[in-house]
Amino acid sequence: MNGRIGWGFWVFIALLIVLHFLLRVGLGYEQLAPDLLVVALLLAARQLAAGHAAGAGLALGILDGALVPFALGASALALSVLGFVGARSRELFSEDNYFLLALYLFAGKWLFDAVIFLATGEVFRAGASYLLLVSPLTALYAAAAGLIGLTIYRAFA
Amino acid sequence: MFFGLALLLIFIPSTYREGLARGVRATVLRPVLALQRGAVEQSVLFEDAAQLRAERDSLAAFLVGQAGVAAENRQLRDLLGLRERLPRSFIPAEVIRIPGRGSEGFFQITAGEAQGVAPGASIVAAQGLVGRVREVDENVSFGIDWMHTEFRASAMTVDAEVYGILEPRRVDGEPLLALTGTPRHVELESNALIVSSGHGGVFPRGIPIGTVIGQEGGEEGWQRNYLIQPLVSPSEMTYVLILGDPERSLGGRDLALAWGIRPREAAEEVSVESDALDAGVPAASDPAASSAAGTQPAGPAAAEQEVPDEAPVDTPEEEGPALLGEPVQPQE
Repeated sequence: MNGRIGWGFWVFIALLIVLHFLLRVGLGYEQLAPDLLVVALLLAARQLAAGHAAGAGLALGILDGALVPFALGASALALSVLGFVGARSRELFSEDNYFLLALYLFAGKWLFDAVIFLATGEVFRAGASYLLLVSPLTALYAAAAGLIGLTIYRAFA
Repeated sequence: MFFGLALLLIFIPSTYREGLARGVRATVLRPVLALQRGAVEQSVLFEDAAQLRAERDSLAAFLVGQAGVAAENRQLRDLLGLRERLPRSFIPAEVIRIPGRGSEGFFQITAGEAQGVAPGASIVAAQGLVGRVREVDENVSFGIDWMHTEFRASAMTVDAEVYGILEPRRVDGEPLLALTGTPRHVELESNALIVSSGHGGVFPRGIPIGTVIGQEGGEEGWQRNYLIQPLVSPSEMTYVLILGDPERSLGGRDLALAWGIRPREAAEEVSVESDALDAGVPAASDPAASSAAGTQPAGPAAAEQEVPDEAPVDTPEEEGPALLGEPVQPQE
């Protein structure tokens, strides 16, 4: 699989990361914009060794957590875990199966929210309602955005 | 190894963590934050003009109503030999909510060290207390509001009879505050206003915070707790004022100039006078000359002496409503 991946893919991943910060932070769309940072990591992790994917997750987590200083460690931990798990998922299914890929993005985003909620202690304060009601919707949104992005990339690659 | 580093980031002292975050914001995320600042400032330009005008009119009415009280207060302080109370300076800013990431009660503010924001400063809205500043960068700051789990405020009733500590609560999903540790022998009525007490030096005394909804829990122990409905709801935390250090120049500022209701000649003369004062040069504030020119000296003490006694002499138009002893001149 790694043989098929060229520099264009990494430009695509970088574009997703830049778009994430541009839409969510720069232009202030917040939750209206999908979580492209998680999507980028999940897609990139499948092309990396588990250790490298965890490292990439840590770096992106620090970047993301810098906007919420007290949650910096939580973001770094959540994205490291996600990178590691994402890299391992390569053995489970092929990228060509769009349904499984969508399921992978959905589950990845949900897992990310769950780890963040546990690491920040939010789950004990606000209860699990966000995790059970809102989080699946944001995960669905991220999965849809990821699939659309990947389809566009493949059309041009 | 990476998991270990991530865990280390969670458990290291917040000073180091926030230092790292500040470094990232000042380098990699700097363009993004600059864009965000521009976007927020742009969106402010498209705010509802009618609402802003209504707020301005309300403020103008309040300002005019307070003018006499302020002069009276200064006279009484003079009589008692008290120094003039220095009003606090305010730094206006917009609140930006940070999406997701377990950031409830945490927000970004579009003003930072360069604008005079200091860590720990109180944040207020028109209705009352919002929270306080936690961390300050060059052009942005981060604050917590009353919903944040770390929020605590020493509070009291308006008559200063009952004191307690406010802390956040969530009742049936609704964010509220609880006034804890109040004495058992005093019972607060519903809708009683709770303000900051000034104890501990975190929040200045007298900032409205909320009203009593009812008692929380039973009457066990020697204390009572009350649920408080905060005056500033989360949706109203958009435009805020950050309290700065006491500002000496505000005491002598002619607020009529700020509202555009003083004749232009007077404005220019007062401006020259205040410039001279700022430069540390004794201003040529001759009350008689000022009166002859149809102006009022800017200083509060001078205003107290001159306003009641001297009517403007050389005013170009006498018709129209008079405000603070001067004919109203429409804003340009």
